[in-house]
Amino acid sequence: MRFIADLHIHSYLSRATSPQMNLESLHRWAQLKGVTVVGTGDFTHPQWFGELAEKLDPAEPGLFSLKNKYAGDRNAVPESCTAPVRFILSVEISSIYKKNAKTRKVHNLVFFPDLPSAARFNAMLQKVGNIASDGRPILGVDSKDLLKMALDTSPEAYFVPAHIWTPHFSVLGANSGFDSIEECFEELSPYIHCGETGLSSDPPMNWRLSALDNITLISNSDAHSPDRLAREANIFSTDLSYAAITEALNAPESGDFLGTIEFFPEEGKYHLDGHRACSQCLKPDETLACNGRCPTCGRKVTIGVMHRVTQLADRPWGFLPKGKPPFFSLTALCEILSEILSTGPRSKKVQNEYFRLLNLFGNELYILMDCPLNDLKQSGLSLLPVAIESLRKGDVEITPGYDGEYGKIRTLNDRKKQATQLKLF
Amino acid sequence: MSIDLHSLNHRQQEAVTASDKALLIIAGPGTGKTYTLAHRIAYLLKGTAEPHSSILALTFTAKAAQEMRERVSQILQEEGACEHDDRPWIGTFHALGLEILRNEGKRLGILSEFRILSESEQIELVKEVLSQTMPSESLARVKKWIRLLSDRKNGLPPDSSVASSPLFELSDRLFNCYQSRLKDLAMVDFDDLILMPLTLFKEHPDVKAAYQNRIHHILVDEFQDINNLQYEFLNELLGPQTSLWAIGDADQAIYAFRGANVHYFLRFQKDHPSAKTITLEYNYRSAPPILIGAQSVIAYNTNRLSTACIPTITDVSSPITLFTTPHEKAEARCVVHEIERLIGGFRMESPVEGPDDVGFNDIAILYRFHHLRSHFAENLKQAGIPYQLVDKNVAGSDSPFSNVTPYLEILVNPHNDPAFRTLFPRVDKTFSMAVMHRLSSAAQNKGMSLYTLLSTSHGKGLLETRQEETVTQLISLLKCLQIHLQTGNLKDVIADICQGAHIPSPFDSQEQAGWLVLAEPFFTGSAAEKLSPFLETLSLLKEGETYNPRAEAVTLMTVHAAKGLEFPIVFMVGLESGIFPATEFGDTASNDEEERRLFYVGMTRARKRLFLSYARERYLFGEKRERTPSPFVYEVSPEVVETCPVPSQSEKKKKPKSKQLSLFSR
Ligand SMILES: [Zn+2]
Ligand SMILES: [Zn+2]
Repeated sequence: MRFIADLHIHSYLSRATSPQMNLESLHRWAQLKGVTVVGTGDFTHPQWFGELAEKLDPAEPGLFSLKNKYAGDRNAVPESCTAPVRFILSVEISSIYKKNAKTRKVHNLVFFPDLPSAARFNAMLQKVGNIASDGRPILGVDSKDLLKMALDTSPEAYFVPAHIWTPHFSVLGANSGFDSIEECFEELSPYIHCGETGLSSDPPMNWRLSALDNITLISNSDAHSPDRLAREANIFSTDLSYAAITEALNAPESGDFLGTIEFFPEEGKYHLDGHRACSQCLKPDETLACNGRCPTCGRKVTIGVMHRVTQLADRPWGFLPKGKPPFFSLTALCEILSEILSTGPRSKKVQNEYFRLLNLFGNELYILMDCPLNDLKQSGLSLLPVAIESLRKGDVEITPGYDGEYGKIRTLNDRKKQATQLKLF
Repeated sequence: MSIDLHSLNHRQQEAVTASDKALLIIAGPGTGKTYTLAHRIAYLLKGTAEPHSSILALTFTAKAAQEMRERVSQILQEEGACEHDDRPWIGTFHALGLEILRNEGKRLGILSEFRILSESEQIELVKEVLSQTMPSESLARVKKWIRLLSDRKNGLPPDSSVASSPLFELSDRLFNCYQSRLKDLAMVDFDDLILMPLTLFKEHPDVKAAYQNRIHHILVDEFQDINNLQYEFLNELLGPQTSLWAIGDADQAIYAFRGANVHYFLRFQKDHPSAKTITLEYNYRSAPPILIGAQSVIAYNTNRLSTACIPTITDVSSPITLFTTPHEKAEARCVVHEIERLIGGFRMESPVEGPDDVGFNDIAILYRFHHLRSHFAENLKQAGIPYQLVDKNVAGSDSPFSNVTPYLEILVNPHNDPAFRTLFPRVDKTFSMAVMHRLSSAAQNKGMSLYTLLSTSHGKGLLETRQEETVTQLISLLKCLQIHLQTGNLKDVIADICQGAHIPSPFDSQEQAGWLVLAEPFFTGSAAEKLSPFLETLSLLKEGETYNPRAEAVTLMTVHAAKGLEFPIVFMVGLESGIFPATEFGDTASNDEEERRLFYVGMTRARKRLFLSYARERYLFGEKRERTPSPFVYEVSPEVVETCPVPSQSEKKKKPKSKQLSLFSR
């Protein structure tokens, strides 16, 4: 079957996350968004692990479902969206350590198919660090050693370097990463089949590195609040099971992995270089021209993902390797509604419209990706089909993000708005 | 034949190549002391046709000795020299004493298989000895008696609080009893490791002459830390042909409370009239503000030799930061927050600053007393920052092995009564002082060890039924372990002990990972073979030696323990009058100059950044007390200090409290 999976989220027990990041909300929002498989996140946290053990039932092999008594108010999910939701045991671990005389800060995702394995892994981590104070624990453990611990725990452990380009916290990041996967994982590199592109990069940027040709690029939301779920995600066409998912990722040529749903990378907060405090956003060549210093204050600028990719790339921009799954660049429906209604994306007005549309047509990803434009014309929002058509065609206006500042995507402009109005009369 | 000396500065070269019979090298912090000493050893090794074992290098910690061995062999490797069995002898004074006793102790009537009395065993032995006259001495008093015994062995005058005790006249008898029990048990205490070789040398001049003839060069590290006995021992080892090369820094003498006597350093010239003195003057460690600040403090001392060091690090010039905080909790919070900032925002959410390449193990939090560490450890834990605690009482209760060592000692020698005595009350609380006294007397009357008494029918009727069961179980566990000892490795045996005795495993403690690194070499090979060396290593440990430089963690330790180490970033905390100098604490008669030296040692651990902090209010001795800053803080030259007042929590906006709460309240 075809389904969408978002494998990297955080629970309310991680720092700076919404108190709503509990299993009940995740279950609800997965349906609203159109996600079938959701990472549990944070399984190393003792309290979260306790909740997982209590509230989840084993479902298909390696996957879990929320017990009925917790699945909650049926009305919370419009009938048009109701669908089964599965959980997969996942955690993100922040490794901070010295290697080759540099401080490395690397985030990695670890998956297990069953609670006993996860419990064994937790017991192992407990001996080397503190896993009880943060859902995304910080450990002074070398990424490679962490991978080895995961593999020692269970041969079915699945290990994915997270948001591989983020400047400060990733395997290839400019500030505290490595220049290659191999430098980080050495002889265990063959166990790395996947890399998470992160919000600030998309597949074409990654394709510029031949070194990543054998890495399947996946995308996840890294959501800290439920409404951010599936802002990036993965599309599969395979059985609903842990093994089928990991096999699809290990062998993308099988065609079981249908590609990713992506942010426009420019929307990510570390896309270009710059210094946020001074509102200086710089393209890679501009940064080089000013010696990596902010033109306003002279401090070192934060090197963005684009710059870092350019540094490590061995292929020109636009290179298309063979046999890569497609990807779909989307933006959130609330952002589009905010443009149409000329009001904030979190405003009551937008929220009301959002749920009205979900009631009418189905889950958000369906509306954004698949719903026929003719249907959308019945929405009562004349600009909606225009905006969605633009989005699907990639006809959008982009203000890139940098140094922690999110970028902006506009699906509508005055020209499109006027044209629509003319058609109406 | 000589070694490459290009990496050394002129003074260092002079020190390395000197041919003087006595040489004192004054090496301030960061002037390349270890580097120079290692090159000196390598230089002697390459330049001599004599056996390498004619070179003796004495250090004060086993760790320093290990580091020295590694450095020397590294230099020699770079020189292309090959290693062979004939090696220089590098080790601590105590390790040298131990070796001499193992080799020659029979001349004093000591069995070559003697054991070193551990700290907890010493307590039990003194309790046992005291029990005849003073059966209910408190632990604190027992420790005072131990101090008295030690001072006596070290030729020091007794502590005034004991000397004024009406029971002081008993000390002769106590001393004799203690000594004869040690002999019965074939054990020696820590002081004996120096004292006995001295006696040996005095009573057997031929032994002394043999050592003197063998040793041509003696090098002493940290010479300012030498104590009376060690100094005497050193002089005995110096033959007419032996050269003495001593390196150290009188400004870093901080072990007066252990009997170290900086006067030997200060009067070196007097004791060795032909001696030459070389001062290493370039500091390769600290940023100029740190060095200037530290030197402005130590300049207040009058009893010193050293002159100011010249900074060579010029690429960092951040001033010393002084945090003034409303109370100890705010102090800990502020330090941990600063650590988060320095690491460069180790969370995606925290602002990313500090392009410096800072890792957790680049950071140390130093304090005057262990009591001060709890808030820091707590805050680090809450922030999810990895940290390591470097323990104070390494030979005793702080060791994660402290629960298993009595078992291990008994496995080595079941007739080790003090070890048995430490064990019983832990296994079964009903083994009170009175019960132990009853057992010990019975054993002594029958002329047998506790083990023999209890594992045979001789012990019948001395104990209640429940207690007898405890004993039976314990004896059978020990017998089981004896078998495991022959088959498994030491790690397995320790795991068996923990399982059999229901005690927490020492391998689960991540905060104390340094211990495991230390123990690791003993875990391969047969347990029976590694057991004694392992226990010996544990009993010779000194404070600070459990520090693990490879742990990816922030280090928490006392200033004493930090001696000899350096960190890019150092926080000195709890800098309040009464704490630093330590006038409000404990039984150490504090001496301002010594305390100032300690402060200086703390400051000079820092390479790039130094943070000082104090609280205006602190819970001490069960009550909230107003605090004033340490006088030493005012001695830091103000032009290198940036004061940073930290507001109290109420003045700041409140953080949303625990997210867990919201779940429960729903
Ligand atoms: Zn992450
Ligand atoms: Zn700027």
